[in-house]
Amino acid sequence: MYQQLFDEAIGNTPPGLLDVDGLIRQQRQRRRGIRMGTLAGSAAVALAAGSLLWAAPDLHAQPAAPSPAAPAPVPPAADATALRLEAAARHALLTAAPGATIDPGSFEMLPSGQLRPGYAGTATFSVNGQPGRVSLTITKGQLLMSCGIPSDCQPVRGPRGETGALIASTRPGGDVIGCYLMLDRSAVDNTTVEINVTGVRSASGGTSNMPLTVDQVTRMAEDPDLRATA
Amino acid sequence: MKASEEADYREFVVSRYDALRRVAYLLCRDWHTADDLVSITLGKLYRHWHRGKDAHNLDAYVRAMLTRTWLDELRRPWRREVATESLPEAVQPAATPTDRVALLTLLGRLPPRQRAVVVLRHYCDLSVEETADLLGISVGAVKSQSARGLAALRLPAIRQYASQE
Repeated sequence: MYQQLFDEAIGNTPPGLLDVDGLIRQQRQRRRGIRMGTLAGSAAVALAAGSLLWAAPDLHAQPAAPSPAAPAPVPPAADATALRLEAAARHALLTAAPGATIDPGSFEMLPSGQLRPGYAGTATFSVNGQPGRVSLTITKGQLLMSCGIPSDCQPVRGPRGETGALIASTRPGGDVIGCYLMLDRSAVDNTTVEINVTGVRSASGGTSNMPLTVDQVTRMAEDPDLRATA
Repeated sequence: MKASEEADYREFVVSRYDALRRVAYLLCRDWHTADDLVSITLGKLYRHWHRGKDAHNLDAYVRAMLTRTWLDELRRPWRREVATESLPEAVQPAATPTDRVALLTLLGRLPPRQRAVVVLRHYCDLSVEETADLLGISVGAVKSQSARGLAALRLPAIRQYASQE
């Protein structure tokens, strides 16, 4: 009896995201790191002890000349994948919503997640004067997802065999104020795309309706340029 | 871990992932935190797979791990539950909003350990002894916490359900 009550109370389960391969990979690395750390620690202790013995007769000798300064660190080269995905994200949004205006500084793609390595970026934009915010995550590989007990969560199927889950948030009147879409394209290009779009109320008032339609969000997620590998 | 053990682990994770998320959600009532808790728990499970596999009941072992992870996380300052003045924008829920919100709100008002007892006993369907064992408390404590927790939930919410059926 109680189990059913709680299940009803939980209601719709949003799509869960778990990269099992990533989780296993991370745990393997962690284990390897611990082993290496233990070995390195033992080696360091042995080395320190050895060097003390070696240096003992020279303890009163003059200190050695300082070593030459270390070379200045070289700034990291721009992340080519991040730049590619930034351009692809802009292109995907403008293709899905041709009249959209994207604010400067948007879609700066940064590496995201350890469990789910990928790139993520956000953008603020407007369509026909209605502002909105979009966050985009491009993950390499497949994410495990489940719609749970579906009602708000709808399964999605793309033209190239992509599968996904969509949750739209609506007001009582039916206006869509935001949506979350996860599209598993791993069978096509080894990529999973997550998009979260919400409407933003402008400073001058108005509504916070989502500036894109659900179809536009879906088209954006299906854009072939939004892929994890070049 | 051997390849065959990893396959077992993977199968377990895939088959139990959704159920674990729901348990985690009942405990913390936030899907993001629930996902974090499940990820942390599954990471721990990988590291202790041998111990878990040898356990009498692997499901119960993992639920215990999840519950302890949640109780541990509650002690961290950034995880403490805080009250806010403003409510988020109204979103149309799927079904029976009053009952759902009422039950979850009441559940959220229970002290953490009492909430854990109620969830393990009455959602995960564990026995009093199993719950006591998992939480490291006495059988008597489980019985009293469970009774108090149910009393707090039952009066306003569950009766409301019953009257509608």
